[in-house]
Amino acid sequence: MQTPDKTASAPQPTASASTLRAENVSFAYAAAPVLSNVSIAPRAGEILAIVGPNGSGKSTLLGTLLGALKPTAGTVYLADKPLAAYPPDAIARAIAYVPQRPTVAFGFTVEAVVHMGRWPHRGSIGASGLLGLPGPDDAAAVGYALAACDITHLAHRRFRDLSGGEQQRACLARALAQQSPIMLLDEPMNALDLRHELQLSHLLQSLADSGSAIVLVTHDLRLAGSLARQIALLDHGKLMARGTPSQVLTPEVLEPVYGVKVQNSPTGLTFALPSII
Amino acid sequence: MSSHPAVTKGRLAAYGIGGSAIVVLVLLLCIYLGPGKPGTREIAFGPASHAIMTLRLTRVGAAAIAGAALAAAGALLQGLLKNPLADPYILGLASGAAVGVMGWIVLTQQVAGMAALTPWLLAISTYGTSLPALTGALAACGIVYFLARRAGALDPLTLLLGGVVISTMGGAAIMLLNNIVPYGARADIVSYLFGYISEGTPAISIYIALAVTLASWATALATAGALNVASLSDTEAHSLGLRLNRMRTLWFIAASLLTAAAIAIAGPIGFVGLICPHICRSLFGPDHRQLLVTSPLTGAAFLMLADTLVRCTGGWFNGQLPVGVITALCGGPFFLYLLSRRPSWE
Repeated sequence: MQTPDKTASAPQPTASASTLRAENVSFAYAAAPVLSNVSIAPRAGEILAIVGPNGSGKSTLLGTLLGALKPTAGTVYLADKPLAAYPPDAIARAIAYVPQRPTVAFGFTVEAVVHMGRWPHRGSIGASGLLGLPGPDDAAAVGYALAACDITHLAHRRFRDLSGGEQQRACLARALAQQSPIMLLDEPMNALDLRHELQLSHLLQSLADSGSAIVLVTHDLRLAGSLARQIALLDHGKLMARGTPSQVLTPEVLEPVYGVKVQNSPTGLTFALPSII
Repeated sequence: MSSHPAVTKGRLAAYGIGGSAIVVLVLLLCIYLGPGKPGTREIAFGPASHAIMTLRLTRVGAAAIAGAALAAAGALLQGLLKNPLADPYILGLASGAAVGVMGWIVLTQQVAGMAALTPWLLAISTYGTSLPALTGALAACGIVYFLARRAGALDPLTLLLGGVVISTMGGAAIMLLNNIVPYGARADIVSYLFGYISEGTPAISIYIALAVTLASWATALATAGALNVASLSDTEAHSLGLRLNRMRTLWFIAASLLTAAAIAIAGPIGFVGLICPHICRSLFGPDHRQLLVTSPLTGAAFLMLADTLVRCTGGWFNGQLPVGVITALCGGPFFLYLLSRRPSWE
């Protein structure tokens, strides 16, 4: 993966479009509450990591930020207007999403999947002609995204023939091609090898440096600590802590949430089950 | 495994123009073929020849429309349900249309003696079986749609399961109606249920089917790019700005109308809606913008040829075979060959 070229087809976020905030958001599947009164506000130029144990509501929070899940209470605002007030394509031009487990039916190539990221800019019968066929801008954005994610050589392979990590990078490329100033990523490092994990970290940092607001859901506290400027810690759908890594990643905050012993060591945080220490 | 080249305007135009040219050639060939040719001992040139050619054109034209409609419906449904095994049968649309037509036949036979109703029935009969087929398919479509619409979202899996149930119930209803009609009419009905294209199809039926097919096909083509995006998971499609529920509803209605148009003039013919999208996906790739150009043209050519085979082999059997027998006997082995050659869910 390469550092984004800020002059070519890199995302060009605007200050107003990149302000997304959730205010007292709650969500429930049927009667089971999953999120309760969560407020977060990812800022342009920063990486916000959402961490927490399994089932703490991290992905659900991402779903409400994306507008895919409608909060049962509270509101998500995009540029000071409720997210629900925007048409879906306008939201897609502002917010890109990388799923935890990408799904692509049929044998679409990687290039075709990355081209789908241009959909919000084209529509069905768009400026580039009938049927939403790609124009020169689309080809440039897709070329940039493929190179940035180090998958240009995979462009003509079928998406479903790729390894999990390669699929994850293709989805990231699709999100880059979307050129949205806000990017939501759900466990993007899960299937990546060490080299590509480091490259993705570098890419996300570069995107944030170029003005994007990045929201990263991860279970990896060390990664969150090294990458994010802000961390939100969820547990059972409640926001337990929010702040800088040094404020959130402390034994006092983490131990009651995870039920493990946490110690600060010279190499960073170490974790152990209570019975072992 | 590398895949097919990307879609471009030039490639789409080439497929559209080339495919249309092939369809026109097949149409001319199929009109020419048949027992007795103009200018021969059987059919001299002249009014009789003209009349026979007109009858053949009606039948071959009906086959072309029905083939195109079924293949377009198949391609739409496979994309909509993200399932390469979907076709108009599996969603109950075909059996719904068939129940509509069967119900109509039974109704006209049962109440034909009722003087007050006869003029009304005769007036509607000029539209042939189009309206009953359309009503049946849309009723099946409505039931399956409302079953699948859970918590405000249209769920493809429930759509599929609801379709299978409606299809089975439709089969039972057809058998029930079959036992109501007199014995004499049953052979015709069995034949109709395997698909039967007639030279005597009323012109108005053909025009209605053509108009419905063209309108639904145009809708499908104009939204084919969105169908590609709908191949992603629902959350991903939503994140790209697709109004998934609205589009699924549109595609489902378009597929229902296409199915009804085909069944109204040709009966419930199997395999065309399943196999044509598969052949085209295997030849040209999975992009629905190409698939919705190539698949209907393939369907039109395939059904014209299959029906011509039926016409030309009538003397070999005890009357002409239902065309559905040919599509299943030709299409089935070819489909199995495709499955054995490479995974065809692509």
